[in-house]
Amino acid sequence: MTLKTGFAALAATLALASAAAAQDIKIGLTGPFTGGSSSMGVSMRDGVKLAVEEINAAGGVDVGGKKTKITLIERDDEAKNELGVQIAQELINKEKVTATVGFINTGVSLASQRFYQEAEIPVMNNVATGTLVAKQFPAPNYIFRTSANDAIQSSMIVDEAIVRQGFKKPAIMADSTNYGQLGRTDLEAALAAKGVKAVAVEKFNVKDTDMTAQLLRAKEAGADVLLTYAIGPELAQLANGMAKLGWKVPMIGSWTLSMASFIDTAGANGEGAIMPQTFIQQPTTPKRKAFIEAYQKAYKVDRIASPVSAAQGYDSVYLLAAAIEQAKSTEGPKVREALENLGKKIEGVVTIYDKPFSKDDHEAISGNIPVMGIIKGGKVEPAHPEDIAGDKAVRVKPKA
Amino acid sequence: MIKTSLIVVGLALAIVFPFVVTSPYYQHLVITIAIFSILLLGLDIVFGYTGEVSIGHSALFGIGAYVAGCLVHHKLLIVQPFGGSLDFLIAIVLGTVIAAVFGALLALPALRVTGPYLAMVTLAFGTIIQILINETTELTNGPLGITMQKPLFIDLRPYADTFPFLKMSVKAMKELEFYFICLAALVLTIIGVNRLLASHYGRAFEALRDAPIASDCMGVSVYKHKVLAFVASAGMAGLAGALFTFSEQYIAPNNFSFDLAIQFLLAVTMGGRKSRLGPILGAVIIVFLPNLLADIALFRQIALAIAVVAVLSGGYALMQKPEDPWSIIVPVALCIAFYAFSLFLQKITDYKLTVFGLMILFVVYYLPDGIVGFLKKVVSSFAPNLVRTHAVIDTKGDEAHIWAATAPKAAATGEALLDVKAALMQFGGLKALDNVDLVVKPGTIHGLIGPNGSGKSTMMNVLTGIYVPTGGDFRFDGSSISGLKSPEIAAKGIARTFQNVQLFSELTVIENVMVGLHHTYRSGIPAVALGLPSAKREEQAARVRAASILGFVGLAHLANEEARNLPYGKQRLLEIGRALALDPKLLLLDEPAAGLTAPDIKDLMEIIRKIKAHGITLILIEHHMDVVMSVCDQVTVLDFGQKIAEGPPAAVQANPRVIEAYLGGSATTEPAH
Amino acid sequence: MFEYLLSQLVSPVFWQLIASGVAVGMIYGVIAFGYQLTFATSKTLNFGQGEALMLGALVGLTVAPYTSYWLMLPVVAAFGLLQGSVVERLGVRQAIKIKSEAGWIMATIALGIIFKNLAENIWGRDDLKFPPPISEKPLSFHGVNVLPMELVIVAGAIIMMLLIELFNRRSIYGKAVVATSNDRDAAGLMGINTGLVITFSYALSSLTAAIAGVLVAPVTLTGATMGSALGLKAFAVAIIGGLSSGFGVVVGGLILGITETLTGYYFSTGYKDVPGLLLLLAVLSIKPSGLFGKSAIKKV
Repeated sequence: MTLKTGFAALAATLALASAAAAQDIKIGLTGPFTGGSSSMGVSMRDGVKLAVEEINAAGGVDVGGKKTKITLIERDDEAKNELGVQIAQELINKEKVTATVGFINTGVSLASQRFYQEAEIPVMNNVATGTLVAKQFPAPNYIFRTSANDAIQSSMIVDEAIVRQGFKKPAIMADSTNYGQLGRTDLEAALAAKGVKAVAVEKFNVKDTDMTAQLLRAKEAGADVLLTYAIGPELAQLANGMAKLGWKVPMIGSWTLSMASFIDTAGANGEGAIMPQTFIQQPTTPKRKAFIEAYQKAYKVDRIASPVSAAQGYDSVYLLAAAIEQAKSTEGPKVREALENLGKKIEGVVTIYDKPFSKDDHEAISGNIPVMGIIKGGKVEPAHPEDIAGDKAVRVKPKA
Repeated sequence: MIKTSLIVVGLALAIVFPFVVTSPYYQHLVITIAIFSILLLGLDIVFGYTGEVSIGHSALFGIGAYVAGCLVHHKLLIVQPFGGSLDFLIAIVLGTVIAAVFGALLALPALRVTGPYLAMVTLAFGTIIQILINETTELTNGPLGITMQKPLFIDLRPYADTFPFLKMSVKAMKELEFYFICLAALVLTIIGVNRLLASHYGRAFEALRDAPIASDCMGVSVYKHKVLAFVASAGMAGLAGALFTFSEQYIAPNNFSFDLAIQFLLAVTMGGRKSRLGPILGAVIIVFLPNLLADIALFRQIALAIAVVAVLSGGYALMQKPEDPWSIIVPVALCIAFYAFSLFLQKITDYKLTVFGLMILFVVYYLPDGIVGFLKKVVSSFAPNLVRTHAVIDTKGDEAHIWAATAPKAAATGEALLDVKAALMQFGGLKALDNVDLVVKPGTIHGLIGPNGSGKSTMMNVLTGIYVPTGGDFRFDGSSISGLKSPEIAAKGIARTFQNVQLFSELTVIENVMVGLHHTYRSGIPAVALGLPSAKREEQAARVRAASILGFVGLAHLANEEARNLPYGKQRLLEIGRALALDPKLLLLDEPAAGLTAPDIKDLMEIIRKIKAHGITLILIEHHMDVVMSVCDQVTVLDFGQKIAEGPPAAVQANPRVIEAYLGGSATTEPAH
Repeated sequence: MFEYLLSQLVSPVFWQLIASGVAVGMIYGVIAFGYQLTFATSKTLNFGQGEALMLGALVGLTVAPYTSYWLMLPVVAAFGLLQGSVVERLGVRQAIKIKSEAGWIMATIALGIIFKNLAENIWGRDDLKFPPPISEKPLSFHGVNVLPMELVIVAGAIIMMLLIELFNRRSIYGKAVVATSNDRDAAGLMGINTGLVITFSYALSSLTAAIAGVLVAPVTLTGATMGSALGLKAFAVAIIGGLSSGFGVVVGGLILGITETLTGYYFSTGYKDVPGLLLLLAVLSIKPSGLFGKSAIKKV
């Protein structure tokens, strides 16, 4: 930082609107970049930025024969609903974005995206998993998603626990936020589909430090597996609490078991936890290898804090860019139509997107795409290596 | 004049705004500001006026929001194009009322405590409410939240030709109508709050903050008025909450967190307490701040603007040759440094909370009265008349209105007005009053003397309910006053002054007396807020009496000065005036002559005699022996908590025990005091 | 019903809950102790107490690899003293000078926000693992398991509180504290530098918080947001026990900690926090200055 850049900033300050930016494609980027769930938000943001930088470095998006750069308008929603609403309005009405990518927290997503729907501006949810998110509105629906929703995840969790591993007495552990409680509902439904009822359904608050009561209730009910829906720190407290009570049953839960804050803080107690993953930080395909290396280089980290968020964020931009090119326009309805009928196959980090969306299906991730990951040696690895062997490395959404 | 025209211009701007700025983004921002303003105006009653910190207002806000939300969610109301307005009104009113009820529920047990204890109670209340909203899924739909629609009140589409300037989409119309509803709600709230705070309630709120004990002794129950303030404030939070539900169209339990409560407090502090403009400005700040701190270019422009304003106003202030130039240079330098900081800041989202924190610190340090307080100070240095902190009351008093319409019943029966038997007051092992009997005949002046620490003031405090006596029988005017609280005793007709003057220091002289006249009011809060004629009549009558009483104690020319600006002697006279406003049967004067000059003492003795002449009985604690000897009919002497002598002044003066214990052998020397 | 209660009294589950409640309660208690220290001298509290704890833990985490856990303690203590002094000088002094109740509340909250945000940027947004100085293997007493570190917390908290109480009672500083607490103006006239006494009480208070931070960090998690929830719980504890009683915060902490675990197990984990808070309301409506707080005689 020199004085010169300071003066450059001063000049930029005084210039009310820079002419170059006005012609760019404006894309909103929103998520929690401060506070409790910010590690997911920041990884997602960095994934998105990486994709945008790559696209811009290649000249930009081809809109009807004209190469146009993408400008990101970044806003921190602090995981607060009312702030999310305010940001949505700002991005729509003041910044006049073409589309918005982001949303980590289902609550913020549910609160804010109605405004995009009304304004006919597409939204790519790339981390929020609440099942309702992508079907809050009937067609024409402007809400799309590139993450595995809770229904998919819970049925995978239940399959793994009940069918594959043969547990009989699952206990559900979910935090009291709408993430945990919506997930709990989905888990209960998935269990019911298998004719099983949880022996205990327990709740805890974010930042709770002691899980003794919850764990004892599960233990006394004879639980043989914990199905979890919560985020990193509290999951770690669960794992550590079990170690303290000298009670060890497997933890199988939502994708957040792969958060660095769980793996690091649970340490040995977190080993063996299993969770659905759309992306595991392993260079199993050239695309994944390139992505991981680019990310590591750009942000000077070895391990991505939340690889799933980063990958889904990255892919969401490419899908959007492809739709804009196909629509030859930045108008919301045209971009939505293009997204629903994407002609081009897009090789993403998570999967190869071949017509990922249709008029009634706005979920890019189908049940077959995520694989179960397991924590081994402080890293997420495939729980069942045979699942990703050979040509199964890239799992593609089946044609409708 | 200028103020009125400013208000008119502001209102006109607010009305024209949605037609000029048709962007729903800005309309929604202004609506949010209006909603938060309603809540913050209410919070200011508690936080600014009664001086208590509430961290429970986010929960009260949530209750209002969820009342409206649940009504819609459970289809108890059907919000539809026509007829929906009534449903909406029901939701808003219920939201307000139920939040007010919860406010009372919180306040009744909570307000016996104060300071950090009260803050904790409100915090606990807020946490419990948030847990309940989250857990009672049947009622509130739990963490999933409630989705709803804004109502459309009047469908203007058929009249598209009549209003060519309107956007005729249903969405735009809903937004526009809702904008005006919120604006109307805000304007009505401001009017209501203005009336409430200008009334006897407003004076009571300020009185109990400045001097709670004196307030209780003037019959203004601190407890009751704190509860009232809380209930009014809670109602406004509920109103804001119900409007918020319709404005956001989606609410969830995490909307109403601890963080929000803290933001509310910060908003009032930054905007400026004890004003109408302050909370509104605070609302503007908390609504705009996230946007401001999200956009680095905008942030730099604002920082530049702040620096320029600081340099200009600081430069002007320095030209006035202030006593302490550093107190101006430092904040100006900080503002410039802040701008430099903004230029070098690259990733604003990561540091926005730091910036926010620094702004709060700056306000606490250099703008302790908030931005509005600062502006008032600046404006008043140019045009002192423009800024008024108090309503100027120039009502003229007259002799006819000094005394209450019904004179105290002159007890010709010879029965004692006050009859104390075996008063015992123990603090730990110390007996401050040790079986003291005290009989005061009606229509007399009863002196109570003794060396320092002999128990005189303790007797006063026991008589007025400040201390709960350990034992003894206390009868006043034919009934027992044992165990009564200060306001109840005041209502029975015992008024007092204090040894250490306890005026309501931030109220004006006449307002101090009007607090004493609190008992003459009958109007409730609704009557005051609606400005009913009966309430106005009461206020007028009280003004006349207050002015008359000020005339009596010789302070008429100082009526609109703040009490804390009076010289000491005048403060003592004001305390007497305030006590007289209570229309007492018995008036306790605790060292009224202390610190007074000789001519003042002469006036004082004249006043005391006049009070007696109007049938009011007095107890006088005094060290000035000449005063005691010349006005008292009867004198009681205390020493170490025990009564050692009683009788007519001359007899007491000659009593050898008194001379030994108190006068130290010489009957004419006064103790240095 | 009675038999059920009796059967619970002999079950290891019950005692496990009590043990965990005690551990949690002592964590609350030792943080609450810090509130009590500053309240005694200045009638103010540091609403950023949770952040003082967080900074202590993170500084400890940074220093520990270069020294050992035990050698790191004096460094953290020194940091705590410094941090507390900064809070007092920046946040509280001015507010006390102008007698502004709102001032110190807002300023300490603001400093808390700043500390948290800076920590987020320095140490990252994720919670980190604090390597415990002793074994992580639980000890088992008749089916009741406790972590060795939990015993260290309880012992450490008690020792620290005793040391500070002793210091307050025996040293000249302690006498100055009592004098300042009774009447600040009079103490000032007697030549006591009351400003310094208040600064020092803040330094001590942050010291306890910082040490508490490194004590609890191996059991809870370590990260920028670790302090906020703990700070609020400790505030509740300080109020239940009474802000003027050092003994009260221990009892208050135990009450709250045990109530939480028992409610969680026997009633519902969703409502875990509610009975503790209701208890707080009940205590205050009977004893407005807390269980062990001295109610001041009104001076008129």
